[in-house]
Amino acid sequence: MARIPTLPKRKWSRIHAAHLAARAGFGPTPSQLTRLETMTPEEAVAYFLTYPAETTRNQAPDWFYHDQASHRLPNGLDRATFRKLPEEERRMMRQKQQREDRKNLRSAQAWWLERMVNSDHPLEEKLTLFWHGHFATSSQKVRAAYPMLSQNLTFREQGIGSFAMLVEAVSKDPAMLLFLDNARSNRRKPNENYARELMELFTLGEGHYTEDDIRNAARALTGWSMNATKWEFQLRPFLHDKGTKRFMGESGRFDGSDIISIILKRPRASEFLAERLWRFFASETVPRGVVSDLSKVLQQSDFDLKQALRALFLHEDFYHENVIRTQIKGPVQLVTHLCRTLNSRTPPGQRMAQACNQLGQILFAPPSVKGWDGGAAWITASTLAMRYQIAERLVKMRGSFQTDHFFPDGAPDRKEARIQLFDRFYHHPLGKKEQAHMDQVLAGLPPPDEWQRAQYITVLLHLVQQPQFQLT
Amino acid sequence: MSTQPDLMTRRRFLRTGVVGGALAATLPSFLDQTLLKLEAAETSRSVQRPHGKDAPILILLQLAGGNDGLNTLIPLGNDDYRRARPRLGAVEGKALKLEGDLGFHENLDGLKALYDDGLLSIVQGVGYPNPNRSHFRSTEIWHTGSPASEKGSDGWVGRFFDNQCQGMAPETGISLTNAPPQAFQGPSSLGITFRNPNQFTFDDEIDMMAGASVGPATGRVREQKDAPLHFLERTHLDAHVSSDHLHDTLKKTKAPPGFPKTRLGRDLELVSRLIAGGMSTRIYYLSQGGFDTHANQMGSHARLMRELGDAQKAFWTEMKRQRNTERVRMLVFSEFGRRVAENGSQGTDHGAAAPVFILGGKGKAGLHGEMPSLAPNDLHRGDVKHSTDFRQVYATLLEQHLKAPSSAILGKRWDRLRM
Repeated sequence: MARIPTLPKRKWSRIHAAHLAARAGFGPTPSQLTRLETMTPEEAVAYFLTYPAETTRNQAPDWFYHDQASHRLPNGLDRATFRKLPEEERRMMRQKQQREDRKNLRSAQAWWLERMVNSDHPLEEKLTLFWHGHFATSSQKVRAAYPMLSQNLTFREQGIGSFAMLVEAVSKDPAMLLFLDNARSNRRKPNENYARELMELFTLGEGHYTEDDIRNAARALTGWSMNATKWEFQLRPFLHDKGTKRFMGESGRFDGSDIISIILKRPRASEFLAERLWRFFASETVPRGVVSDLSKVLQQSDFDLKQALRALFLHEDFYHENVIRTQIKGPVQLVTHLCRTLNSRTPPGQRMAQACNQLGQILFAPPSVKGWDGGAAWITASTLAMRYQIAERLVKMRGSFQTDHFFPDGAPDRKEARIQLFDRFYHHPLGKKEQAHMDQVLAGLPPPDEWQRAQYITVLLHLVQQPQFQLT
Repeated sequence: MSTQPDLMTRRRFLRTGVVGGALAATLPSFLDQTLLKLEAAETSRSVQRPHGKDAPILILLQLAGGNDGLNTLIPLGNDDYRRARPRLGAVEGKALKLEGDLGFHENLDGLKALYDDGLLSIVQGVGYPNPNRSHFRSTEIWHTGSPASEKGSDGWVGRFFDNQCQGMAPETGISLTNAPPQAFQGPSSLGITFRNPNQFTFDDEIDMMAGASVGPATGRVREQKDAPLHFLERTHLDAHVSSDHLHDTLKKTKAPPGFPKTRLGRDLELVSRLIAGGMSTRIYYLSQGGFDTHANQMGSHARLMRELGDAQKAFWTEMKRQRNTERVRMLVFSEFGRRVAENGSQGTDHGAAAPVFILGGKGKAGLHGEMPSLAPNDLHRGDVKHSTDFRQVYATLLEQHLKAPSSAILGKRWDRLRM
């Protein structure tokens, strides 16, 4: 097994524990941070990596378990009967179905965001968000809630197992088959959309395949289609091109599975995935050494994602000062992190969803097949203004926080209050400039033992309507 | 929450936050100008922009996803086209005939009227060598203006800002998109991005504390680990300043009539208002999405053509009313065209060269460049070969319209188009 440089035990600190909780999840709650701090790095990483991947399929919102067919055709009608209905009636039924789908998608967004805030398995949620951005599929084109949520459950089930199996599962996923048109592809005129993105965005990266590879992969992938009434994968042999394909220097009567295994034999595939994981969980700057460390782990473990993530979260470069607090929070991270920091008892799913949508991260509807660009792309003049407005709304909401949660050991003096508040909101003491600014704010308020809700709100707004709060 | 920003609050913010922070020496000059302007505004209560009143304006509109050039500007009576497009070629029948053997898609009656009016130039067969068929890479090539083999990250507009607009306000570039376009990226970090002006506001509570976080943004060069923070602080500052300018400008103007209620219609309506209100913006970037028509292209492409043509018609009618048709110019482009032959899903896959549209300005309207041959032997992997490099189009717009030295900005001398 590859040896990777890990963070020594003795260096483990509260800042590191918070960093891990922010990246492998959506930030620590106050009590969780204290627990993580007392663990060893291995124990802390194991805490995030250990969860049963298969249970969530029973925990989706209720509508998901209704007659599956009804998510495609109204009232469980079969296609033939539906077609015979008068035009006006069909239109009304379609509209009703669309309303239902929109409502269900909103419910799925809220369901997911609430899980991010409340779940005992934060990495399951974070990793699902990663795969949602990696294998980006949008309800804008799929136009139905059921396959979108079903794909989300697949990300949960396969997301921490074998990458090879995940790629195959995604290639046969109904939402993806529809989104990148493979469901309609046929041997006479293969559709190249999925073949291209499979290599460009999902496994190898641009420049690591030829246009001929795309054409041949598209031929091999024909026949991977779906049953549109049941929302299930279906192999359609009469659509499949059974001829010989030349692909990446090999030739044979390949199908989709062959194409995927040939792709994953390329050393570039493990490097590409290592880079993508690092960019999402650690930093947009990817050191060469890290790519080679993580890609070795992937190669030697047959693309085992759990081992790769373990190596990533234990890697000493993950705890480098250029990585800690240098990631710009995406809208989902911003909103869930804030709710966890406020420690509100009931996270407002619908309002969190609305906030994320406004800030440009619409769950189940990424802007393109490339997913969300992340990093600096989140921030524009107007999204920054909106981030401040939304933070204010969440802070001022009824029941958003409890005043007696802030200083459980009794109200401290102003300086100690600043230290505790920074620890809670930034998980870091920050620099002299920020400290001086906060001290100035606190000097203008009564001493902390006299604070009422109104004073807390003033203080919290000063903490969250800041460039510093956009970082994690 | 107040949507009408209060000038006094801004002044307090700028003074206490930035000047008060003993950073005056490192202030970028646009802030000096902003301070002067705010001082002037206090006495006269009328905001005058210190620059940009008559400077030429360029609008970039990307048809994102890869527009099917062959079903936009349709070759008429062309057997190769008919053979390659047994189903999608049906648009030929209703095409709006231009000169020669070319016709517009039937839903582009708006563009046809502008063409007849002498406001529209078409450059045919625009692309670049070794065409890349990835949306993202090809968009990057168009935005940076660098060769397909090189990975430059600065945008061509960003280099224009650096070359021509130093010290100007952040809103010298405005992008009405969700994320800043790569074209704007560059050393001067000009350009602001917003989708909806109504959401682009700050309330007073934020202003009062902006000072502490903003100060150092203008200071010394920071180490790499502070780069994201520096960027956030910079955006915070730019956003405050530009949000004021934007809302002042909108206050002075009314929504012009006749714009369609589509996204592109609203975007162009907003741009026309900002131009009328004297916003100092030199470059606008807009994007119309949905052109990646791999399947069932007929209906969706027709809707996109309708949206494009109608919005253009409304915009240029308004420009005529403002007498701004020469001062304003627009480039309509896409990252690539689509494959000549339709695919089996009644759509088209990613292709290469395609026509671009140039509207307004002082150039010669009409057809430019050469229509590439569609004969199977003349195609490269099923795609048309380009006859004009897109950087020739940029060079023409830079020299002729923006009066800027194109070789310094594009890194090399490109032949201009004769238009």
